[in-house]
Amino acid sequence: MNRTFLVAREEFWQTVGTKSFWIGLAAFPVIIALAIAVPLFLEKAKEARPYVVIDHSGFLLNAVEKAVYGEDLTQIGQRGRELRREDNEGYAALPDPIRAYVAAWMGLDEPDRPLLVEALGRRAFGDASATPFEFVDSGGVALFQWWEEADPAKVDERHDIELARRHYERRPVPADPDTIGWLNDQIHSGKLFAYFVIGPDPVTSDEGCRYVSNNLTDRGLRNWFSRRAERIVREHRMERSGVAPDTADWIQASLAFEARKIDERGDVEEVKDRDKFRQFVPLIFTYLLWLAVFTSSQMLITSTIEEKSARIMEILVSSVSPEELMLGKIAGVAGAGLIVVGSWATILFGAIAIIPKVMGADIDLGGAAADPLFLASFVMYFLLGYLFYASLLVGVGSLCGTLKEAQNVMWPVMIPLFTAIFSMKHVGEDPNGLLARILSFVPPFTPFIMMNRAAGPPEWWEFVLTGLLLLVSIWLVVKGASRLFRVGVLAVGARPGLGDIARILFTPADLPGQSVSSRK
Amino acid sequence: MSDAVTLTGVSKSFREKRAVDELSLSVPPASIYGFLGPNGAGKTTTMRMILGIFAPDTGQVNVLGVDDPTLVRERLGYLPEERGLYPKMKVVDQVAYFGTLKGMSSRTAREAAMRRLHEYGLGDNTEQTCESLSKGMAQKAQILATLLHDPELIVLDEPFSGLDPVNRDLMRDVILQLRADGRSVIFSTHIMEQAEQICDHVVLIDGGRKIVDGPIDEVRGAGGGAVHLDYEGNLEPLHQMQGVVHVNDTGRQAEVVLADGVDPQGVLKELVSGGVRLHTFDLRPPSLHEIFVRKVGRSVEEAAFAPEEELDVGQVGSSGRGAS
Repeated sequence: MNRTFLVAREEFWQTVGTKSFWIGLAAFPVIIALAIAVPLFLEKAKEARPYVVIDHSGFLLNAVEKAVYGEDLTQIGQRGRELRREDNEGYAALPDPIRAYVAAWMGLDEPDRPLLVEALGRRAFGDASATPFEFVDSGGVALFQWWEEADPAKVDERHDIELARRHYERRPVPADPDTIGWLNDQIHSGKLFAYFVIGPDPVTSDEGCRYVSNNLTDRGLRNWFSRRAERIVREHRMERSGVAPDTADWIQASLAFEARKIDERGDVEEVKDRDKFRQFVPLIFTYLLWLAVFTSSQMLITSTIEEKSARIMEILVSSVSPEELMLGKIAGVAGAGLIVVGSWATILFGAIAIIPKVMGADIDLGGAAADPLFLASFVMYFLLGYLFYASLLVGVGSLCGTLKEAQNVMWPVMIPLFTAIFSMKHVGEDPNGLLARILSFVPPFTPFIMMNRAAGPPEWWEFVLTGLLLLVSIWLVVKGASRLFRVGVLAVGARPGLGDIARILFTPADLPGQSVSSRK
Repeated sequence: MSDAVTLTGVSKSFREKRAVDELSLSVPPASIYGFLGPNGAGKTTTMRMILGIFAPDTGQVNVLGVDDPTLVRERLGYLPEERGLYPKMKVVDQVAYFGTLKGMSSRTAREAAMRRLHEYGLGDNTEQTCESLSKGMAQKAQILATLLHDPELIVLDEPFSGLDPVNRDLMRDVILQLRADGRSVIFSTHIMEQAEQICDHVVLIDGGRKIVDGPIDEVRGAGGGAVHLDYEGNLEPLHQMQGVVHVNDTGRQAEVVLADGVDPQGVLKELVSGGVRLHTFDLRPPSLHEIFVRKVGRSVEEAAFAPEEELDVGQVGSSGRGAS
């Protein structure tokens, strides 16, 4: 059997047998899962923030409440429609006033629905004027009563409806003569999260408006409340200056530029999911390669050191040539590393394919399958890049006697790795720029930069040339590393300096077979 | 049968240091050949050249009839002085792995490993990891791994160092059995007595140069006569006696080296008249220790205290210079 293969197989099983391999394999999905689950959990577990509003204006708090009621009603309408369509049981479980509201809401045309919500809000918050919506008279009171009394946590749990009160719970202003003093005490003792003071005339100026809390890092409540208050104040200002509500909306409407691109035939086309895919896949691959090299660097560098400290090297080099040993090592350890990375990639792409569907978004991954060359180039650069760095790290590792030494000499190898990451933003923005083009031909950067330029995309000859260049440089690195390896594995005593390394790399080969027979 | 190994004018330098200097020797087939000399004499470097780990700067290395040892790797067995096992590997896997690297098929290697481990009393430990073996067991496993593929030439670097007495005897028996099976064994040692016990041929090396080589009787015989004593008393008077070249006195035993043609009876007379109590009085050729001292002018022990000439990276690094 081929000795390189034997060594590779042995290395592979040795690596797969280590704890760090399995930790590495498990860590990524666990991290991903935690990254998704922990914020969700914390958000769910976060208790509603109790707050109080002292309104000196006489109208603003009422208007904000009305707006919040409207938002909740809109959400309830949408959720009710969903339940009606997909989950009859869930729909039947809704409280009566809600079901009646959802039925009325669904009975309207799309543009009329906000008008119903607006009418319900107006009626609930003290405007008794007549409305064209029959439901306001028949079910409005019950609905508002339900809204005021419902337990938001239970509503969330049972019907998956998040009322505003689920997060921010307004408490009434106390009847205490020293209101402010009492509120300050409450905040101090942690019973109250914050209180707002609305000045006498917020439409004219924000004089007297205050937000008091001891937790200034969680700005959720402050932003949430002030955004709504601000919108209402703006409407009043428009009104005061005689601007019609329609005009006000028109003035405040944003100007959106829709993205278009030019296709190969020179036609203007819409930006499709496939193009978005082209934008985020390079990022994923670049980070994946970076992560792969970074996480398996330890594995690669220690594989030689352990053999050295277990004093097995000399037995090995009497049976196989340093080149065979080196190649076998790289193949074996890199193979194990690739399994780790492969499993991450599978999970990652699986998540990308599944999560948006779960969340209701529509991303067409078929675009990737329709573009096999695009993906193939990534796989190629990924593999070549990984091999390049793996050889470098094994070569460097063979020079060191201890892990501590190895960690010191690892940094020069890591510098291009970090540089590649730092250049990502720039290269991504200017994929065919001079910097990107030049860096494409610098082997340590090639895989990163070329993947990152894919949205460009680069010319076909750039793919071919950089691919070849990378192959050649891998061959050179393997050559050089096995030279370092040959010297490093049998060496004892001081770690070689840079000068020694240079000398080893650039002196003619000292292969026993070749040099002995050449002198015959 | 041609010689197992022939070195012709072989030199090897590391940086400015000559590790091996114009060394020529031949190892006859089916013999035990000892490389003797103090630490740093160039024994290991010579062995590495025989194994094809290093290339000589100049000279020729012929191993098993081939000028390139790497071509006959599978017929060589090597037990380095620095030897170990993969700590996490199972014993049988470990022994078999070294066998496969020597060209055995996985199955043959595994079967052979099992058989040998049982033969050598490690049958109960085959599935254990190497790190769980006792030191003595690990040493056995290393010896087995070296011999699993039935090499024709076995190179053992300081095979006895670090062995417990039981394994030292085992190692000796293994070496003798290998010779009986028609294999050639090269081993190095800096302990002369070991070599005297089992070697057919020896070469004495110091500072990379050959001092003397040949069949052990010839090497020792060329040194004139010597008397070995077991005694109690004072040997001081002997030092001044005419015809006594040198006295290697270890307290209760001594080797008295005589000039050519000196009658040992005179020594006996002198000892008896000096009141020394003799248990044995034995005429023998001088020891290798004595030969070394006489040729080099210092003992192996003294030579070993000379500045350490250990291999370091810088030294190996320049190895290419000579080869170019």
